[in-house]
Amino acid sequence: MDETRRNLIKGMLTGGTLLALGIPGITQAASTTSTLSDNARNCHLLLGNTPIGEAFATGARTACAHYGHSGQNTLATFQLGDELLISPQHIADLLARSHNMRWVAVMDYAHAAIFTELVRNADGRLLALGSHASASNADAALSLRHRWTTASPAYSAGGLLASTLVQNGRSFSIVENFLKTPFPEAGLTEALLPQFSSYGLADQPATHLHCAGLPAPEASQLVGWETSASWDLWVSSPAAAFVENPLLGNWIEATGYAVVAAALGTGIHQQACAQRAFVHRPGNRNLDHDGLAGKQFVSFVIDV
Amino acid sequence: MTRKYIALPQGVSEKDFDAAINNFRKVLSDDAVLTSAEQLAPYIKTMMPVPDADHTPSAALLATTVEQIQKIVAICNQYKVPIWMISTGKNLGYGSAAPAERGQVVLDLKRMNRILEVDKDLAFALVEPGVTYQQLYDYIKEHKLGLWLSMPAPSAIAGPVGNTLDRGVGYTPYGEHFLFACGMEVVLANGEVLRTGMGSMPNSNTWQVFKWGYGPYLDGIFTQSNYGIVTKFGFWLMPEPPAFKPFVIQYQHEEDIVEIVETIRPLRISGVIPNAVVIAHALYEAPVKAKRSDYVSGPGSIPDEAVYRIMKDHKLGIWNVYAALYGTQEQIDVNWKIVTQAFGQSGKAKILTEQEAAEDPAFVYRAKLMRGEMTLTEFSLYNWRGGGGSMWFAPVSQARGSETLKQMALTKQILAKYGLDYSGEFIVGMRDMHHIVDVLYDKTDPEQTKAAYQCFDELLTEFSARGYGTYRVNTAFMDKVAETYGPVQRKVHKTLKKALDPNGILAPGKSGIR
Repeated sequence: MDETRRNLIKGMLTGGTLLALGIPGITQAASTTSTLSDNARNCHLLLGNTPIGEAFATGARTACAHYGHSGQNTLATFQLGDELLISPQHIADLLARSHNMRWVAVMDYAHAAIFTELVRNADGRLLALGSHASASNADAALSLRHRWTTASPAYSAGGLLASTLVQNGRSFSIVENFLKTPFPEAGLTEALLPQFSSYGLADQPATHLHCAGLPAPEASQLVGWETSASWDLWVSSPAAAFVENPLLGNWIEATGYAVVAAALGTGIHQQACAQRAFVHRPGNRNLDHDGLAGKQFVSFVIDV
Repeated sequence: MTRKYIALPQGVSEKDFDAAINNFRKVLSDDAVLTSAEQLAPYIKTMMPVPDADHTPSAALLATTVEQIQKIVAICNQYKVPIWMISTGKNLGYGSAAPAERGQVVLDLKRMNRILEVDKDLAFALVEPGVTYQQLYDYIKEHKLGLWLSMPAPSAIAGPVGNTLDRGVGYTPYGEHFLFACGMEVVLANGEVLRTGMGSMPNSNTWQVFKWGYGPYLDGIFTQSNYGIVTKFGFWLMPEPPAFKPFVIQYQHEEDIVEIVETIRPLRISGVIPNAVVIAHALYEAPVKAKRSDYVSGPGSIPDEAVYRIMKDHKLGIWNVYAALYGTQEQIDVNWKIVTQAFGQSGKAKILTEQEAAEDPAFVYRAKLMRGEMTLTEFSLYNWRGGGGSMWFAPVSQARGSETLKQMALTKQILAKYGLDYSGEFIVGMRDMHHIVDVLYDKTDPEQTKAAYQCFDELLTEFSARGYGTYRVNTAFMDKVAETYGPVQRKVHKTLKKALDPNGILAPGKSGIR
């Protein structure tokens, strides 16, 4: 394991409790990614023409500095204008010329709709697709919403993002749907996020809910899951230490940090399950700490 | 639960599916049979308010030849594996590339992308399903053929085969795309290859010039259907006119739609205005210039007061009529006089020519579409509210002002009930209007997603109750729309399906047909 990562995760709780209960755990290290693909070593950043690009890139570079492998502690960055709306062929060519490359891309919804199509046309592999939004109105139940469709938990960024956002006192929901679920014998180790109580569904053990500051049924409702579901408490607010995250300026930087850390194969706070959610509502609510209310964007991690 | 695949076709065991996949691999190369989550993820994303899991494919096959497709359908018949065919898969807002039902195998024809023939004199093209409009556009330019395409708003990245088979429309005089289709090659579920019309006759050279052939006309049953796999497709192209005059006419009040339609109809039917005129509401055009969040925040549909501010700030009408004249300069001069006189009578219309609107990005992209130029500007709609949710609500109306006003009012009322905006336009056909409304919502917001589903369901229910049929719909609502056309049509569709595809391997669920 990379020494930097080892240092960063030291202090995290590694409870055997969950495995003993037969409950899939959360990985704290790169157990499923100990052999990094060439693509993870050849990661690039594609910034769409969106105002959040620079903040995302700041977080991305921070992740790269912390988790980058030898020869990958900076991110080559490509800045897009409005090419996708005017001449998508330019980006199609860029993807076609990419070999064994991992792209982290961030853009608005208009560009994302086109980019998704170009990725499929290029026979690209979509590892993670995230939608990220901050509420624009003060009445919102939670100030931040993140939803990911992720090929497998090995590319999951949600846990790491939760650990950074909770430190900043933001209310948020993070939902991750995994297309392929590793089976328990995948050899995942486990860790817990402090403050979060962890729940599972008795009839759907691959669905996990982690919530802090609100009860499971309410958290379940806020992420759009079955409200009548019966949640079994697995672990209640463990006294674990956080992963030592670097100081990040705002939620967009935190998202960039988490997405790129996952893209680099850091494997922190990952969990063998089909879907999971983190919901956090601090006692002292502050919807817009950083003047970024109403911002939204889409993130991609792709291999070509 | 399957250990190897991200989904399985309904009723197919993992063992049987394994066998089918192994056989597909023998027909195609290994890299043309996609089963990993990473490979299939780009096929899954939809904009509909239902879980993506409902539309997750089990695999995707990248065929390149008709012979491969014949072998694929044989394997599908053997193992009862359903396939969902896509050409370029750009059915955005109608289900994208994802199958109608979980576990279907996507048959992706994007690698069948040969332009087989473009005839300059007879102005037709014969293409494979993976050909994009951009590819054909480049070919025509490169060979200086002097022909124009008609394409939908996703232009460059979409293709003529998929769009026409789903009965999409464009914005030139050839905008009713299926009207200009001429000849198909279709692989049937039993592996036989049918060429429709004159294509069935050996040595005929009229396949792409005479649509009807002999006996019942069959092309129609391969549109919006699941009766065959179209592998070659002929269609007519428009000769480049010597002159082209796009224009926009703005109106300030929603009720003016009555006058607009009553003015356009005779001009359209008589051919003075030959193209598919668009009557776009301010909120359909606004995303090119503004964001919703610049004007409103919080729940609820956008208030009229904010719409008026958008109109004022961005020089939009509440209705923006985009049309063009085509022909020689002399023809255009005559027709322009007719148009300006007709629209000028009431004093309500503000008529802007290309010179007067050249700096307006909304006009620029509309003008491009009306002359068959590539532009993806209309994708700006997806930034209006953000969140990635979009469904096209597409009822048809008579080209009568009173009807369009009724449809608009009913649509606005239902959308407002669910806190959604009216982003609508009317596309004027020969005697009909396609009323196209982008039901935009934030898919990251569970409450809004639920509201969008209920809203769309209510739109379909209320419109069909009044006799307004939907001409095209996303995969989550195909059964509901099929129901609105009554039991006899459904029975006939089903009878044809049973006759042509007894094992039900071709796109079960398409247009509600199984």
